[in-house]
Amino acid sequence: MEHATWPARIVLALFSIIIIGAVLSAQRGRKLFIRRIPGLTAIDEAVGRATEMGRPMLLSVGLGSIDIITLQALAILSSIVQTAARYGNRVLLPVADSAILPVAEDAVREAYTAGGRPDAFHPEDVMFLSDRQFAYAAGVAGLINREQVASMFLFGTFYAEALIMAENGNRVGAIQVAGTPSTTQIPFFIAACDYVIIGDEFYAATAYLTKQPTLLGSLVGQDIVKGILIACIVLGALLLTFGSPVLYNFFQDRDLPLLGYLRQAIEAGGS
Amino acid sequence: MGFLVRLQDIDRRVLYLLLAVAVSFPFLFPAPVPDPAILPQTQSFFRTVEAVSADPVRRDKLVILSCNFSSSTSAESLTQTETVMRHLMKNKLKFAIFSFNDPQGRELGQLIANRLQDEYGYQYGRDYVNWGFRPPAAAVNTVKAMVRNIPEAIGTDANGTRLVEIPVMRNIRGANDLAAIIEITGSNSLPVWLQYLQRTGAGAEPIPTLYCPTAVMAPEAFPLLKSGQLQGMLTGLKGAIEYEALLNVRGFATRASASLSYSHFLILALIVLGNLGTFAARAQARRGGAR
Amino acid sequence: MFDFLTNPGAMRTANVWFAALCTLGLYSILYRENRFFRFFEHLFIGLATGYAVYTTWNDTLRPRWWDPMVAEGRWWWAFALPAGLLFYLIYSRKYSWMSRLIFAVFFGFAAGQAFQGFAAYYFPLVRSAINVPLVPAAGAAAAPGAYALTPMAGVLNNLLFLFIVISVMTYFFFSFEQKGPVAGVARMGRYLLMFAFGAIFGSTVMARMSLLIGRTDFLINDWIRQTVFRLPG
Repeated sequence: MEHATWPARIVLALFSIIIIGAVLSAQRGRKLFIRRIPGLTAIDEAVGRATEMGRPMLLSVGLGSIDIITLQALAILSSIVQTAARYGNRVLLPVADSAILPVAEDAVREAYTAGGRPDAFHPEDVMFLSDRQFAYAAGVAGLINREQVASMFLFGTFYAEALIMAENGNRVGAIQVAGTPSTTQIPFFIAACDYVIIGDEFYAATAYLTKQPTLLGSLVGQDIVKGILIACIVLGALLLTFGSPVLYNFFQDRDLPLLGYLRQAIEAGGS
Repeated sequence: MGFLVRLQDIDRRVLYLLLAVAVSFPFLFPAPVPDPAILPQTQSFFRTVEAVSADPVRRDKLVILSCNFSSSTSAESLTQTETVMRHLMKNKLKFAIFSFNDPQGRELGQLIANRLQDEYGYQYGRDYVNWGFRPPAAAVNTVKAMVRNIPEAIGTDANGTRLVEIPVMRNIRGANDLAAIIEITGSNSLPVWLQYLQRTGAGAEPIPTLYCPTAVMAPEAFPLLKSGQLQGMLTGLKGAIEYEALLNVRGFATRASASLSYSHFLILALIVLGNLGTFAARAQARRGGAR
Repeated sequence: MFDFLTNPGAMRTANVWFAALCTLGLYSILYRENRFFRFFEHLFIGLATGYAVYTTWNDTLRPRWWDPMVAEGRWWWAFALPAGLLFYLIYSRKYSWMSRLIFAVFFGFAAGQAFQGFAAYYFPLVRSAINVPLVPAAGAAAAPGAYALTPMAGVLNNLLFLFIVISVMTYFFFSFEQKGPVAGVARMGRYLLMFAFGAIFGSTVMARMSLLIGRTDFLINDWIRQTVFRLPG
């Protein structure tokens, strides 16, 4: 739609108020609950394995640029690096976007410092490989095989290169934990990785690990919005079944006069 | 039983060799293949292009052929581009090649156009144009600007000629002058068209949007078919095979259909054998534990 | 000596040979990690980076910034340079705060556009999720790409659709512990997600096979048949 309809204005404003309200509430100290996410409990196991074997860990934030998903992936990986730093593990972080490189380097350096081992950080271990998808995949595959990594953490936006990376990790016997909102790559991570965090759990993982009030609040706000949408869908289907297209018309993209919402549903094609 | 258990330990290089043989065999020893089953989304794609060319108002408008792929997905995307372009040229529809995800897209689209234009009597500038490449960071703003004024938003074609000077762009102003949007992509570039251009026309109906993803992206698009946001879809190489059958053309997709089938048979056989091996290994372990 | 560079046939032959060697070199990783793969891996990364530099100047900076500024007299485009350079200040500890200015501008643009994008993309999807009447409706047209169903099959389809939507969305609730019936619905949602992932997996197998078929066709037809043995295409 080029211009918002009145329902769009109402719905978007309502959703924004709910999410902002939850965030503000969290920032003011309200304790918010996030349920346990199974894949995250494997992180300690994977870090421990790298320590026992004396081999490095490989982290990847995928192909995204400086966007929400990549920044959240960096937050998750920072928490992993902090755990790794306590044991003095070496961490390799190849990136696919040159804009992410300084951000990633800073994040890893700070994580090592927070983990009590700033001396264990090697800047050359955070490297830019290529912004071309398969060139990046080829570079990561080569890195995995040469360094014989013991664990891999794949969090972020992935496309077809996901399976190349996960399969190479499998080949060297690395324990792999992956998490991505990229639905098309989740099946491959499920097949090739040991633990997978699916879809929305990725965003929850950041909140779960970092416990930042903004993230916790936005997650709770999103849950409320999801509940409203489920209610709209169920109620709308029931109303439509009994001949009332009110909710069906509410979500269309042409402004209607008030009574238009109560009338016969707009035909398909005239939506 | 021991044989089944040993199946789990087949060297992966043997599997790669089997796959290479399955894929190469039809190219070395071609055999006739049965006509493919045409899926509803491919049929819908075909009918939409036919409907656009049969509509006296729409047929003089411009089709956007958005080639958002690189050579890494050329087996699917380039094949889809060729079959779709054949259909557009056969029906004498005007189109504009454009890409905003990968600079190779506009080159590969032009490559196909150069190959087909003599066959269908098409001429660059008179019947089609190449808008070139715009960087991904500017994609949304470019598409939003196209709603009101396409020549101003795009500026020049891939050769540096101003769009207002190109005959095929005469009378093409904004979203109301678009006949259809065809998105051919190996990545997630479709939402830009759906979010910022499809429903911005003055008419009650959205601009017909047709989608040619690689097979990876296709399952995610089925909700969009159900909601009417997409009017048709070609599912990867299989979709291109079906489309060639509808057009009565024998191209790369038809030649590749046997390889596709044989490789799938091999994968299915290996999945069955692998699972049998897993069950056999578990049974053996249980028997060993029972003793 | 360099006449072949202007000979289209010779250049095509050279291109095909080079592409074939690169293909086989990268495929050699399937046997084991080796120096040939490493060489072609680095070659690929280098070429990709060089191509990115070329397209950045040739397709973005020159036609959209340099030519309008210098050749068309649009001098105000000069302000884009210091704005763009602000990104690089992220490397400076003392001035990195200035890079946040330009990041904030782009984040603001993206956030504003997200409202329109959300409404335009998801409202039709919510509408289609609501459009699942639970009584038979004779004469209802099938959506594009859908099989036409009998009225009763349509109702069963709609009930199944509603059940799947609700159970999958229930799985993704995080702000409360999932217990009792909610846990059961959420677990069902997870299993149903696996059906979807299976479909995506199968489609992706087809996609990967297609890419392999493309390269195999190139190796057998373009390289071996037409270039090595010079057989007709």
